[in-house]
Amino acid sequence: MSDSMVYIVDDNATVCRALCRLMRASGLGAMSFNSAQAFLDHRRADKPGCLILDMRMPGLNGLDLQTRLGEVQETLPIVFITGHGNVPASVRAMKSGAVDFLQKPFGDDKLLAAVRGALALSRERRANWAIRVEIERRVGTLTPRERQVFETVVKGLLNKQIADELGAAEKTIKIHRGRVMQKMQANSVADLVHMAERINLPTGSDPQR
Amino acid sequence: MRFCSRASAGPAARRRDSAFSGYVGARTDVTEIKAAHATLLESLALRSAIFGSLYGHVAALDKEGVVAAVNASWTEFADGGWNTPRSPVGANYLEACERAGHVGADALANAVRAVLDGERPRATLEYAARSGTEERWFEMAVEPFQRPEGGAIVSHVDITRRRRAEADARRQRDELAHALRASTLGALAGSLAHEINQPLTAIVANAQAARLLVTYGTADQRELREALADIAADAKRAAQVIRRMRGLFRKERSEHKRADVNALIVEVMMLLRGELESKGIGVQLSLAKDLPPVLGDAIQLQQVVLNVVLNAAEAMADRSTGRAFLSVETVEHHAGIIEISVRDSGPGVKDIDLERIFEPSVTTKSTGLGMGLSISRSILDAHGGRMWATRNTEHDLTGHIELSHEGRVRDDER
Repeated sequence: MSDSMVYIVDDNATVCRALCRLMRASGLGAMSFNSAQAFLDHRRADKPGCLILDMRMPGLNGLDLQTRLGEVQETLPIVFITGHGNVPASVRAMKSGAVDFLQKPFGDDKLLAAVRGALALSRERRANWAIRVEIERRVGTLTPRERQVFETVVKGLLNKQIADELGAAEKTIKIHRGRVMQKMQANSVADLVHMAERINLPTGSDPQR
Repeated sequence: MRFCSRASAGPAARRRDSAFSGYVGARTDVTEIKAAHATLLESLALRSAIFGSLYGHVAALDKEGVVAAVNASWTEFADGGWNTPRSPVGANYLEACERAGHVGADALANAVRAVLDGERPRATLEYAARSGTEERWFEMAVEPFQRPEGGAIVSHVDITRRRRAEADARRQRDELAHALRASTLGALAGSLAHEINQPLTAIVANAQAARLLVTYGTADQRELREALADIAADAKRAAQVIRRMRGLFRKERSEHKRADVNALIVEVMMLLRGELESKGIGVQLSLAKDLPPVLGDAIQLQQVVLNVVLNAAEAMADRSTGRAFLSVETVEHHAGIIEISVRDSGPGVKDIDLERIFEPSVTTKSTGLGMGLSISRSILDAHGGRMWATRNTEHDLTGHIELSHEGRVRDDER
């Protein structure tokens, strides 16, 4: 069993079969669907994967499916394939985060290269996601006061400034700060800032602040 | 009162003693004979005047086909070096025709003989004659003599101008039909490219898969065989799309042959599959079994079906609600008539006379030249067929095409 899965969505049965065969011959897991709806109805395995998506299909088309997946925060990278290049559609697809846009019939290795890139991106996204989930779990263990301290520390404020802002003694802040470092399993303030960035908290290194 | 008389004198009469006694003579009244003679002369003059004034080449034949009299144009034409005979007085016209040997010469002899023998009340025939590089068309008419001895009048009238005008009109119609086919195919280019790209995509992927299977030695024979079989099938599919497209694109002289109406409908629907799919239009075909063939130009008849189907598809593109579907049906009617009907679920043609949609440049579509249905109708005219449209309910419309299956084909479309 392969550790990744390539999902192919194309209304043309012979294209589906050929692409499935190609993916399997390359040692990748593959599964095909003849409509966007069939793909949405399928319960996907929790592993790295990507989507090879035909632009033009009856019913829900490729762009529609991309929009739907975006709405549910789906991170599956998408490689679009299309029978006739349509510039506005390809621009829209790429802007919405497609990793590639290939025109049928595509050259020998283009698709495999795009799929490998998409799978790497999927692994990276999944890893990032796992880290983020862990950081959020740690943030969840902080008390409200500790969380306030965490948010101000990562903005680059000194203990004295934090004490002024929160209306507490500098000594108390020092204690809170120690607990934050411990609970967040951070070795340094830089470490803490890095974690804050991962969960999109405003930090002192943020050029806008 | 005047009268004419003729005096005649016999030998001198003598008495017994040989003495001369006078002459025996007679005086005859010849008034009527004189009048009859004048009438005859007048009739001869009239005949020769009529004969001479005729624009065509005219000859009177006796029962055997021997030329009894000809007019001046007949004689003049005989000197022009043409390959079709204008026999002089005294010669046999039938034999001359049989000797001439040009295309249709036998038919001329047969037509004349049929009238001389009383098998046909009269005959007309169109044929081409040549002199050097010049070609002229004639219409021969054979009219029997109503007299006991029989015979016939044969006339040949030059119809070259009419034939050229007809040929020009036909050529123009064919050219317009071809140009419109080309522009229709141009409009379909996107969906046809898609139709060809699909199998090509599958071929490339299958070939690459096969190569990987062989390279890594993981090839399970069955998988490899399937990949190769798919490649062959897809290549054939792509070739079919191209063949269909080329079929419609071809520019040939309109040719009337036996054509299978169902087969040509299937071809058109296959060609339009991608286009209809992309518009979300479902298709239902109900074709009558064992339809007799029609005589006609298959490409032009396909064009008619193509126009009607595309028209229906475009009419439906404007609809905002409901399912779009198209049904194409063939039926054989009793009187040797085949009817093709194309029914759509579109918004139909609103507020317009259904006859007017067949006129050139009347279009209810936002795009399009409005020539498609008009050229379709003129193609059908040339096939002895007809087309019209009916409204089913307030929304949908049916286009009807009718062809007779012995296909009244014009004998001059050679």
